[in-house]
Amino acid sequence: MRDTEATEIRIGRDLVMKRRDLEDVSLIALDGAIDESLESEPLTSNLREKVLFNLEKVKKINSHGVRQWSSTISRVESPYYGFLHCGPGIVLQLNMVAGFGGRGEVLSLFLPFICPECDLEALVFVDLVQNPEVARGGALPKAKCRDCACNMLFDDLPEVYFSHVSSVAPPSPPESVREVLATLEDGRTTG
Amino acid sequence: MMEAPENQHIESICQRSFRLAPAGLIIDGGNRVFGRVLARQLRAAIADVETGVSVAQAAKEGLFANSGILLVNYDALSSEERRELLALIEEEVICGHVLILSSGLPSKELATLLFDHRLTNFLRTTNELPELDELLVTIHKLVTKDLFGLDKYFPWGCPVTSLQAYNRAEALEAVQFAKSFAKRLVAAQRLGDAFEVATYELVTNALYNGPCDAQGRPLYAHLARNEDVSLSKDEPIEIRLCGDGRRIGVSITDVFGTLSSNRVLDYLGKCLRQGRDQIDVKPGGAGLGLYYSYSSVSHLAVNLAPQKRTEMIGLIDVRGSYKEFVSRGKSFNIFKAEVG
Repeated sequence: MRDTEATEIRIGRDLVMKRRDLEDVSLIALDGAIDESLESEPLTSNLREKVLFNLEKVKKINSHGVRQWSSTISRVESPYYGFLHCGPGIVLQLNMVAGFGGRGEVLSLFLPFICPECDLEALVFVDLVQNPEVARGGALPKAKCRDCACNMLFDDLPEVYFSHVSSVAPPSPPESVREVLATLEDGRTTG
Repeated sequence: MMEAPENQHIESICQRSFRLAPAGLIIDGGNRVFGRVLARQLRAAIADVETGVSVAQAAKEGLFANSGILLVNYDALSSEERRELLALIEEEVICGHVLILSSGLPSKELATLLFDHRLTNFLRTTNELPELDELLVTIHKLVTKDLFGLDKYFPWGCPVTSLQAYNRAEALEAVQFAKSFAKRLVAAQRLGDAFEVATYELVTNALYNGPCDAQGRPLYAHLARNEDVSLSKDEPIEIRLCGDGRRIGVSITDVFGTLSSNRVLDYLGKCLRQGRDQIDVKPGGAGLGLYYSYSSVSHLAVNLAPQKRTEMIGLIDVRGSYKEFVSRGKSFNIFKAEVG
């Protein structure tokens, strides 16, 4: 299967999709807001056997966008798909709406942290393929405040924040997906 | 000993001022301190407050019949006592207003109380007691039926900002304004985001689901939410914002009064259960707006005057971090104006 160059198209009023294909994996990164204007077709057409959705830059999602998204994701025919870099906004949707993630595995997350001294907020990346125990009562990563060097605190309740990811089996992506993940710079670039 | 005449006079004034107020009953679940503290807080607001009884005792002694307001320390009740209480509500042995006090109920249990038992008043507790102002505002609204207004939830003198929206573009502008408003008043970014979500969902709900024709049939509920609607000049959606450093609040009012208590309970209940019917597949909205609003705030209060007015109030407790917001639990009320 041929690799492809990255392409970029608008698939919503304020939503851009970047896609490139590596071997049998389609890498899709979304940037913007998911709302009622989300177009399903580009997200579900001609996908390869495995799909990785990078949701790091999804800034917001409203209830009408959730319906569009859930309906779209249920139409993905690829045998395997997973979600990368899910921020607190996406984690909230996964926890609140039963079908939000469809059959997909959550492969990595951002954890919200806050500095108890200066209130600075930061997101800390966790790879759930490498560290699945984080979502299952394991030790959380540590973070230092960029401004005052204090130890930052996890700014949510673990039983709430990890309620979806801990209710399903730890992610177990196929080998070709692992290989693609390993080639991505810092495990964090798909576009 | 004879009571001094002036004391008799004062007692008579007290009796007159409370003659219309209902009596209260506190089911403290064995937590006597809880009952005593709450009773002291309530004696200025309602006629008489009895405490220190269990569900079974209250039923046996016929106390429910005289209680206009029943406050239940739900967390302290055993499963059996909870079942007993809900059965008495079902059988209408308990017919006054029931306030469930809890530090936080699991979603599925809350869904059952809303959907199956049609309970409409929940107040969050912190260190086992409800927030005093939320409790007093709730009791006042239940007793006086003076329901409407965001200002009731804020100290006197706290300015309220008002906006109007006649169409989708103006509604979205109001959401942007609310976002900026929250940014100025809230430290944690996720709390600001939650305020924006609540405002968007409540405004959209009012704009599309509120308007109806003379027969009460919805005019725009079937439309996709990216289609525009236009309201006439005397039917704007009113958006009000207020904040005092402790809470920020938004109220959305429409003049149609089409939202019913049953609809609120049905939709919240079905969404909290997270079943296969969670998302509506009908034309129009996704049926998630109320759920998203409730999930985004510390306190959601719904004021209903059928065929006249609907007001949805969302309040976020902004003291501290997002984690504290999540930890504090939620309050929820539906208040209904008397018809006529």
